[in-house]
Amino acid sequence: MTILRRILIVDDDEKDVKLTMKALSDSNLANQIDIVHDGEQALDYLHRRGQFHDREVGNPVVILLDIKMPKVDGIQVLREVRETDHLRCIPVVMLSSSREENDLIESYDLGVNAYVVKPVKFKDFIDVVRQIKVFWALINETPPYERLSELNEQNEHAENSTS
Amino acid sequence: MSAPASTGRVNHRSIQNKIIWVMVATSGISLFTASLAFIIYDVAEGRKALPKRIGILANILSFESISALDFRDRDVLSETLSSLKGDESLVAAGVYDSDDRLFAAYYRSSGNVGAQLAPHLESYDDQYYFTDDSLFVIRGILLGDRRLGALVVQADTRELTSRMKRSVSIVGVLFLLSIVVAVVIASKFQRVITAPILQLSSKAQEISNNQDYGIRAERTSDDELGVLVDSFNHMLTQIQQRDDNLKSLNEQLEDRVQERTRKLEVEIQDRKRAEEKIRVLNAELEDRVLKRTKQLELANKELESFAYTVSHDLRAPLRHAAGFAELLEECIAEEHEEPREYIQYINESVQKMDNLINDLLSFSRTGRQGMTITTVSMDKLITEIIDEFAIQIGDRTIKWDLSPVPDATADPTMMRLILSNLIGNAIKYTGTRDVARVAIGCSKDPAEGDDIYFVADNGVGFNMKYKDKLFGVFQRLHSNEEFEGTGIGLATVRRIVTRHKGRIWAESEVDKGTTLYFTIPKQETDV
Repeated sequence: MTILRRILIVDDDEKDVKLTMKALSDSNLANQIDIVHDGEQALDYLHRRGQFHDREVGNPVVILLDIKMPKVDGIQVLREVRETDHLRCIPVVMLSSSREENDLIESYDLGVNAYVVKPVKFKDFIDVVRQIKVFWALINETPPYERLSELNEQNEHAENSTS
Repeated sequence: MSAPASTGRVNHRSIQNKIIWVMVATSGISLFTASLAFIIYDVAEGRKALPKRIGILANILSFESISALDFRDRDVLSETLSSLKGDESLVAAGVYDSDDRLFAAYYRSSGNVGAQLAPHLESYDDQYYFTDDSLFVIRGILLGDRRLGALVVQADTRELTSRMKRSVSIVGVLFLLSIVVAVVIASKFQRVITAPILQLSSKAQEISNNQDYGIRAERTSDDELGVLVDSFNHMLTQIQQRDDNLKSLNEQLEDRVQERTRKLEVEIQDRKRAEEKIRVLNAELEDRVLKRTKQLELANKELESFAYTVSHDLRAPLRHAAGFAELLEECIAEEHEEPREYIQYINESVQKMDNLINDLLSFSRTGRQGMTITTVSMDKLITEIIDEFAIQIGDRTIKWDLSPVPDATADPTMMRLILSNLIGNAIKYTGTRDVARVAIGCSKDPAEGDDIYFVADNGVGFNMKYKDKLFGVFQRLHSNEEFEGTGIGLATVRRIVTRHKGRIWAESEVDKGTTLYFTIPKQETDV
């Protein structure tokens, strides 16, 4: 059985989120989508702390990360993800408005999986999002140990609920 | 002993001693010679005078004895002989007969006189001879031609010897006396000569000890020594003058040295001050450079953040507008053509705005981006760019006239931007031509020797009076309806060429075409 895991969208712009959601839904994929609005929330979500302390166990299948955000920006989130053992293997796709060279270089230096400059034309954007989703959420294989730890966590969860 | 050593020893003696010795030796030698001559003469005279005197006496006696001997009267003869008593020097006398036998004799004191004389008296007639202490004088006693016998007189010669001895001792005493007198006189008189010399010598010593050339020797005589003293004094005067000159020269020299030293010190001070000033100025300058650099860095950062803001924040709402407009389009039924048309316009405007933002960002980036200078193959770049334009060209006919061009030493990305803009323009502005012609090549600048690249087309061209507007930002010579464009392309090109210290210019004629020229001088590798 394949569990369709969550996709995490990190974006402070409500309109961007709406358009991204629209693009994702248009591509007919059933993954649940979680949305956070800045880097701080994103880290809380990933670490399951603060307002996300009781969220379901498991890493998202892919993170769609905006760069320019208040408080903690996308680059910092990416850095922390790559420096944290249990988060390191999550695929991260940067969704940025600009092709600013420094951002590009820094992102790839930190080990981003893809860097997408959001096209202005909505149809193009839908194509891009579909491709991202198909590749990272369906075709791409996550590392095996993550599956194992995931199963363990699920078992624990099951035990807890039965007791 | 060798002569030099002896003269050496002589030379060591004082001049006083030398003079005394010379004088004493001279007088001694002359005195000795005179005395010797006198003694020799005296002795010689004595020995000549005695035989003469005794001879005369013997002659008289022999004459008086003739008759007595002839008569062989011994008494008379003895009496005759005894008349010799009066002369003390006569020691004895004898008369011998013809047989050389002593006949009669006289003795002043005892002793036999004839013993020696007896034989062959005849052979000694009229002769005399000396023995150690006596003179014997012999006379023949003749009567007519008949020799009766011989007379012998013996005289004492000791008197002669003692007289000679006396002379010698007198001469010796006189000699010694005169030597003493000579020494005394010499030591008195030598002062006449040596005193000025000694004075000169002591003066010279004093001068050399005290280095005082003001001292003068006193002139005491008019002779050569006086002249010597004069010369000495004259020499001293000259030396003093020279010494004074030397001293004054030295003083002058010292003054000059001191003056020079002072000047040098002043100069050194000046230089130190100047160096200090320069140092301070340098420090200030460095400070200002640092400040200015910081300001520039700050300004650059601000510019960057501005560009970032522009690229990010201007495009986000644009994208939203486009996105929602498209979503809106989906909500409007196909038959409502008018609203759908408006939505189309929104999308076109959005696209235009996006292009503008992109070009503006590119323009701003060419100004602040660092340059990586390498050798750029312009030929390769040109063919690549033409290939990239294939879609845009579509089914249009463009005749390319490509001559090989030299490589450039420049930033490759920027070269791509230049060529892409110029070739793009050429394609764009030949859009109305049935057969478009684009020539790309290179020629040498005869004045500066740089390579001049050119891109020529047979497009619509422009009026050369607007050439100043050609490279300005947002300056367009054609309407958007005629040719699309943002008006930033050539501004970006010119900025790149300027950053490479090159030149860019255009030649154009309306409806004939345009040629863009640019040069890229060899870049310093550390730019």
